[in-house]
Amino acid sequence: MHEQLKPQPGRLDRDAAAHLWRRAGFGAPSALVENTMKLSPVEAARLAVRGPKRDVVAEEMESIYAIVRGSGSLDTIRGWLIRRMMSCEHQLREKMGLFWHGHFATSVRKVTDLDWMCRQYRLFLDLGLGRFPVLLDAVTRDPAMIRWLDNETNRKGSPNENFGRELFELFTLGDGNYTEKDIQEAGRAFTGWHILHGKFHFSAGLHDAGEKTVLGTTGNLRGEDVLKLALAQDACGRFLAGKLLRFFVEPAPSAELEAALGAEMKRNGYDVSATLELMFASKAFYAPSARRSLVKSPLEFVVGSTRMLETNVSPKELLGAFGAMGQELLAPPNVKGWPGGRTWINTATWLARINAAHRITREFESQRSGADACRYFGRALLGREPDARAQKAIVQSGVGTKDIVHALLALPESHLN
Amino acid sequence: MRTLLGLLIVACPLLAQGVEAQPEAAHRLAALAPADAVAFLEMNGITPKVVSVIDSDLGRAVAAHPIVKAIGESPQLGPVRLGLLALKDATDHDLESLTRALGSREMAIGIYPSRTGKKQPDVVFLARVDGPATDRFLKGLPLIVLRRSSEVVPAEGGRPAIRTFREKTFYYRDGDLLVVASHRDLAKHVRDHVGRSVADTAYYQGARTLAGDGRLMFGAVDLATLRAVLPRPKKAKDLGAALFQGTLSERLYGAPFLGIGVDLVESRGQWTLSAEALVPRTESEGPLQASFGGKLEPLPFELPEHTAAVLRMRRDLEAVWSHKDAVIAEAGIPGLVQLETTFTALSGGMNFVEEFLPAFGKELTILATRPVYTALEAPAVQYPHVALIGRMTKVEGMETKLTIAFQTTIGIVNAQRAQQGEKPFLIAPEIYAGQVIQSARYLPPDAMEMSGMEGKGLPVRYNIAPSLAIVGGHLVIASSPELIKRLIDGQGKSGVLGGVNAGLWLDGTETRKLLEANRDALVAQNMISKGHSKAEAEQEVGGLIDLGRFIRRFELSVEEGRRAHGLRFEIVAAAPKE
Repeated sequence: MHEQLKPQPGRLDRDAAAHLWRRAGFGAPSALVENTMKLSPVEAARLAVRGPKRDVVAEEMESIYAIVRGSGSLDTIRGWLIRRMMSCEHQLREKMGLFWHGHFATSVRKVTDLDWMCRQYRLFLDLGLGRFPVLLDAVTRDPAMIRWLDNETNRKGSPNENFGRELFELFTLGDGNYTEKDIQEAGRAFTGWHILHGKFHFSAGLHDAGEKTVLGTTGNLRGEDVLKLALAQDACGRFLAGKLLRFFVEPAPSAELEAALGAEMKRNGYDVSATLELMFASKAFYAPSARRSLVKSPLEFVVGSTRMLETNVSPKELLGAFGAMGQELLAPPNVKGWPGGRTWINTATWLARINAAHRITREFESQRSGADACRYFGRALLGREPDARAQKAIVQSGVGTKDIVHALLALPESHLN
Repeated sequence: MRTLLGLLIVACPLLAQGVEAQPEAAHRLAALAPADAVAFLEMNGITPKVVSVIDSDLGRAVAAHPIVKAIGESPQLGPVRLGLLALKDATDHDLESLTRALGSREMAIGIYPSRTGKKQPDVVFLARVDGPATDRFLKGLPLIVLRRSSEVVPAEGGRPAIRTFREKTFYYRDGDLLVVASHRDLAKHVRDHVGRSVADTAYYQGARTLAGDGRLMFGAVDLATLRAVLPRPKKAKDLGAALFQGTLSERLYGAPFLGIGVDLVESRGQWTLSAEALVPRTESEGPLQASFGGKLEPLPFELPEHTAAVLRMRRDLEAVWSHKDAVIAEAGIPGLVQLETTFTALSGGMNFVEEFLPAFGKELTILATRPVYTALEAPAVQYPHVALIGRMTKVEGMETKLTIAFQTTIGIVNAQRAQQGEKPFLIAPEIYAGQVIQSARYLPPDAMEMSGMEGKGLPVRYNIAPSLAIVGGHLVIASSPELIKRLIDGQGKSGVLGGVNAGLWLDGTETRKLLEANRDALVAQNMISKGHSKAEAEQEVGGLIDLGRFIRRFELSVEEGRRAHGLRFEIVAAAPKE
């Protein structure tokens, strides 16, 4: 095994525990961070990936799912998803929902059917920590995805290559691991994969049953066969591992690390949970260079801040702010999803983040004040106290605890993961 | 200053204990107040009314309600509770005995331009009080506000001496008269009876004439003076807003004064709180006022069963359209041009301005009813059924053109929905009691859409079945053909809700039942918005819906009289019948 994938020795300190929960979730309240400090990295990774025995909040959110779905309101559905991120105890499930939403980026703006979008996001929540082939198969048959990638128009004699192209480029293999011919032939394999009455329908009469050659294999290939062929490529493990590493560990992982995690992933049958457990316990994950090396997405910033401050903000009040910050749920910018990283921050989105921070702190209440508040909430938000210079500036600038917390949220470190 | 003045105002009725109420006496206080008040509010015998409410079934039921109790115990009200404790320390009265001691006669508050050029106005408060209790209270004030004594110092000589508290509040007591002011000159003016008083002013006298005598509360506002500092009302942003607001704000802005009257009466366990704000009618009304003016005829339909709300207004649409530049902001005009061309196109060539508007009468009504569904057809979230009803002056030839407009519109909507893969409407006209109802419905949901939704209700779009008919000389556009059928059943029966220029009527029971039908959706919203657990959300939503049981009726109307125009508000509440 690659040295960097071996478990980090010892027990977690506060900074490491806070780091784990910021990455394997949206951030944790102080009590959870302190409890995790007693664990080894392997134990902590297992806890984060497998979650609590019972997630009562998730069960309650499930109990209103039908109403949310039936509301026909995009804001209500978005609010429901954000509330889940804020409150559900099995945080990684919610985080993986967001990860897969970015991976299989589909927008309501084109799909237009809210119910389909709702059902697609459910796939990410329900299957996101399982085996990737199962999720891939479900997404391929998902009405929202079929509409999004125009597969409704993909028929024998007039193939639409969109789905085949994105399947290879964005979902499984990545650039350079397939040819244009593979795309064309894969497109033919997915002819007739349509929607009828709101669900997947295989239109046999519109399917091209002729011989095709995809990724070096020739035969009367159907869509399912193309999925298997893609998953059989080493590039698939490497591609998915690279995406997971860039989302959860560091912005530019080495090719060796990607290959090593990819190989592990392929070996374990693309078991997402097993791969994540390995990754969250690894030396690579806890390396000093990995800490605070990622830029928080707007959702990570806002949801994480409310969780770490243990305060409450109505998700609906922040929906406009998410638009201004560049991350609208169910409406990623294009098929590639949110590019993330440094693109999250520019002059406009930074201002929007500061305004969102103001909204988070507007009704914030605490018995703490002055330097004590600065240190305490600094630890909660950053995993450590702000340095002396920052503390002095923050305490001097703030007239009350709200201002102090707002200033803490405006620190660049608060936007780094 | 505000804290202290607020404390004094709260405590003053207590200080008036033992003095018999003398309604109609408050205006005598106006004779003491300096004349340059921009607003003057008088209260006569208000405290016995408050005590009556507290002692009533309604008062007891409200006080015992869990939501009200929770509000009373909320941390946000901590400072208020501390203040009341301090009040008890200083005066030997807790909140209950303080409230029961409310036997005051008259109280008045005058609002004045700032004596020091500040933005914040100055205030004077006058009340008839019990002398010894007042002295005891005033002595305790520094202890309540500052937790230390000896802060009250003499500010002005003369008799009686005016004292000050932190140079921000000035007061004196002269027999049973207590005067508290935010500026020493105001207190001095009252004490020394310098110059004219509020009672001598034309605006106060005019407002009294309008509001009439015998009101529980009476207010007079000098609009002529305020006009110098108040911004002119903005034009409406679109046609809907223009129709809704009418010329009320313009009338208010242009009037010399405003009279306000408030009453609270009890009858057979029902309490009615009503308020009126009146401005004098000007000699000549311009064409703009005329297009929004006049009195509504009674609605010539029996209100359908389960009517939750009715909004009515008398508006001459043709005249309003011709004055659109005067009442609608520039940004809203392109929308009107689009409305005109779109309507003309959709109706197969019926000109909106030259044919449709002249055929439209001067009365618009929006009616909302609580829908009653069978279990199988109920949407998960239930909107009220809504109908827009417009009186027509010419029906002949209109029905065909309006049918074309309706069917074309639905066709265009269907084309757009088809492009987006959304479910289409099926146009399905109905004949009911010999009357044609144009209607469009959604087809039943498919199995996939209902998977996982069994027993949870239909998707939200099933609230809408656009419908149109001409019923009894009225164009009715509704969100459900069922509502039109109820109107057909009720046409020509007892007319209601007439005699005013515009009005909103709400039925408390039906509104509560509508909320009750959406209880699950409201609970879900509460959980999402507030992060509450399901149990907490159910308790809060249930509590709020339950509170609605106290409200029987709510009315808000714009009225026109020979002498005055006004806004009238009325709310009827009662303890719910178990």
